[in-house]
Amino acid sequence: MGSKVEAVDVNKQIKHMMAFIEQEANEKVEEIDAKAEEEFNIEKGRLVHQQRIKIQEYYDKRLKQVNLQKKIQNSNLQNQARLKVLKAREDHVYGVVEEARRRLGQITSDPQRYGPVLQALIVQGLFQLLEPVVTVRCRQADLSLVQSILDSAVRQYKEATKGMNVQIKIDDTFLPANVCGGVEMHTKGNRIKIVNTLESRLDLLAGQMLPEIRTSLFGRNMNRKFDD
Amino acid sequence: MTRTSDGISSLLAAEKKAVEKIEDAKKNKVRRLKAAKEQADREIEGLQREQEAEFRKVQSAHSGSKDAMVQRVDGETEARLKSMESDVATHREQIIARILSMVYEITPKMHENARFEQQEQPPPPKHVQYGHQEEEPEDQEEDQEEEE
Repeated sequence: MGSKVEAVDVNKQIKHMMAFIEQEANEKVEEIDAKAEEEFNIEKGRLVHQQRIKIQEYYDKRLKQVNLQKKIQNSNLQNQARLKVLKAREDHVYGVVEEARRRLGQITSDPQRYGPVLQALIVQGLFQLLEPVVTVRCRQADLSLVQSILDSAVRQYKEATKGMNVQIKIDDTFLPANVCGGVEMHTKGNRIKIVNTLESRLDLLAGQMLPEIRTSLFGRNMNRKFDD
Repeated sequence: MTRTSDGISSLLAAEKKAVEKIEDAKKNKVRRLKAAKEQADREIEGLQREQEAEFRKVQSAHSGSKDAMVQRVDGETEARLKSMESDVATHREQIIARILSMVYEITPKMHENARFEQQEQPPPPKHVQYGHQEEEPEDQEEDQEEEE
């Protein structure tokens, strides 16, 4: 009858269906696995790439900073060195002026040279004042020398002014002893005063002579563009 | 009838097994995604350490060269200062002498705009020192014409 054959049929069918179910499941699992791998790689790659860029930027920045620091340090070093050299230069220049100041008084021990100097200083003052009565103040030590040249001074003045007269009075207050030499002159009761001491001359001259001093000591500055 | 129910239970069992398999696969997928992050982190850490090591190398090289630079600049400065000293020593006396000679050389000059007219010649006045009595009476001072 049919039941034996049907039984075998049914078994076969069931076996087929079971195989089918299993196969479908396997295929689905394969799909899922493949997708999983793909997503794994993508995600890992994305994260690594992202961070790599950040790290790179970070270290690039730090490297730039380090290099900048280096440049700044170098520049500072150079600056300090230049300033040191410049300061030494100026110290030398003023040292020379100071030494000149110390030797200022030397001439006063030689009346032959000092006399004309005093006369010239007085005449210079007279030319500036152009007054009829002038008081001259000198050092006590120079008193006699000054007295001896007064006449010539007045003569010089007269010649230059085509005959103007001047009365020179010598002040009985003297210049203090720490003055190296020279005179002060005043008129109109101390209202107009001329300081013509050796020190004041040196101060004026030194200021004007600084370029010349520098050139004599160090040679001409090749970097300098303007000399007037 | 048992044979049919056998068949059905086999099928049901197969279905159940299939569903479990698929669930497992899905769970696996989730685990894989997690693993991706962990592995990525480890790789990134490695990168970071590499870069840090590179950077430290550069830094220490830099500080080494700084000392060298300081020494070099100092040496140059010393040399420049020394040569300056010798220049000064050579020329010093000369320039001091010149300054002093300029101090002592005085040429009194009248102001370039001053104008004078020839004066009559009264006798020159006496020079007086305050506090000292002159024997002669003082001369009368005459008014003088002054033109400037």
